[in-house]
Amino acid sequence: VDRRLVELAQRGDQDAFARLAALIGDRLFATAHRIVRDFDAAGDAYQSALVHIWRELPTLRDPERFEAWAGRILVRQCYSELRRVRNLPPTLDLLSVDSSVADATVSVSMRDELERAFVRLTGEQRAVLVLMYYRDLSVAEIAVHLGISPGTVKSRLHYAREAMRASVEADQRTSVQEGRPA
Amino acid sequence: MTRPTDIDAVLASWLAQGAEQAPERHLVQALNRIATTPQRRVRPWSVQWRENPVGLLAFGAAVTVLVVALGVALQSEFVGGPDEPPPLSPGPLPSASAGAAPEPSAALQSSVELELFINRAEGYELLLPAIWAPTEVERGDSQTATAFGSGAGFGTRSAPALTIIVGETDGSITPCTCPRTKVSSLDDLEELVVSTPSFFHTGPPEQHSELTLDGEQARSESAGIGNNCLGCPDAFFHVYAIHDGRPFVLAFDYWTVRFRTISTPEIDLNFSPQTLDTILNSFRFLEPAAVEQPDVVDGVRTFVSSDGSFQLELPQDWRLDRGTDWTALYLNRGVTQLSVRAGDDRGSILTNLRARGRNA
Repeated sequence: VDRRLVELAQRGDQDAFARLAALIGDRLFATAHRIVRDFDAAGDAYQSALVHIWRELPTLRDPERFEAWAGRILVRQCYSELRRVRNLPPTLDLLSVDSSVADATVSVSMRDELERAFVRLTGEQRAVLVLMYYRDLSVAEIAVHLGISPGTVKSRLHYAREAMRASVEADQRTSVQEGRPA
Repeated sequence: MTRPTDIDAVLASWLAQGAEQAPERHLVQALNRIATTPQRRVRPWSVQWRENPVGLLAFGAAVTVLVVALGVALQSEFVGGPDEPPPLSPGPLPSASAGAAPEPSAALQSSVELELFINRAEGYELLLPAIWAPTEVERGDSQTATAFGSGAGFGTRSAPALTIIVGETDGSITPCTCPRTKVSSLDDLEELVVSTPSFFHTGPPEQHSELTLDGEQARSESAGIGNNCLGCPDAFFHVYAIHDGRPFVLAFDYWTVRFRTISTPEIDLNFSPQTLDTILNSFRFLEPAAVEQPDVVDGVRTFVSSDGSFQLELPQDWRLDRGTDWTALYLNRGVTQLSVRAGDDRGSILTNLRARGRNA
């Protein structure tokens, strides 16, 4: 992200902010979609995050850290969305799968298990999984991104991975019992 | 017995699936909201003192030094000491004021190479960035338009950087998302292209100006952030004219014009206001000429490449388009079905958006 754009936006330049939003918007939305697992909720989190980013931008001291800082605001908005959604009647809204990108690593039944296991995780655990496996960030980068210690990242990651692993292995056991390919 | 699970691979694969692009409406709605949202005002010293008491001590020390230095300076002034050298000129002020368009950054040093594009069938020519490959797009009612710089990396995400729509001699045209309409004057055309959808009503007002296109009277209009649709999704800047009864509309993409940038997967190019002027000044109306249509036999057309190096038969409803750097591009309903490219006799070929070179 261009430092100069960040500095212009910090001084109230809405055009510069619009360009920043366009530059990072897709990454923010994609991350939100994976954390909250709902298109509309992701859209709400994304919109609220952009408004928060705009409002708080003058408080950002190091423009070089804009993207990580913006990502942290987005993740917080995702937590808020999850809390809001949690108060609604429970539904299991599976993400639609684009067959062109679906691969053999994850079967349909396994996807269901993963989805169920994922929605049982806390927002904080979801966020570390998404940042590590989707955004491909290291533990140290996730710590900076979320404003928490690396130890906390590792702890959340450990719990979340084990929960997800258990769901996959449960699916595999079921597959073997039913005689279908795992 | 189950196999050990590579949970890392499973999670990476599973999380790879999902939305990759933010819907445009969310971005526009957010930008509309920020247009009326004040930014938090910061008092840097208060934040720093709270977070860094050492900084407070340092600040206090700096103030003390400053006061002492000021006192010494005033004393020497009143005492009438030796002439001091003139003060250094103030350091450079921030060069960009709030509200100014961002200057090109270091990544935007490359200028845009322009080359002549001629559309004999619709009767116009103009200079355009060489990397804006033209494609023919459906406008409904059997009318077509030519889009330049389509695809990811150009324009507003996947929107074309420029779309040129040319109507019929009876004044009928299908610009942007509007239904086919007959126009007889620039006023009619202005009313047609400035048709802001109701959900983009909070942005700044549109701006209009008069200009000439190939010596003929034309008009332009542009809009602000939250008001950029104007009946042409993602378009920001329209230029329109009527020549020999035929309406012409040039719809430039929002980001390209507003932020003076052509983004490509490899480099951002500087699209300066001068480049836009050069494009508009180079525009010429031509006498529409009948373009040789490929032969059609039993629902199959024979297409011959522009350099005559090959030919092939394709369904008759496929359209032929010629990119600037590939031999032939065949389209069907606006979606690329088949792209055929031929290199030169040195083995140099352009693949996708990569620079021409020996990459195949």
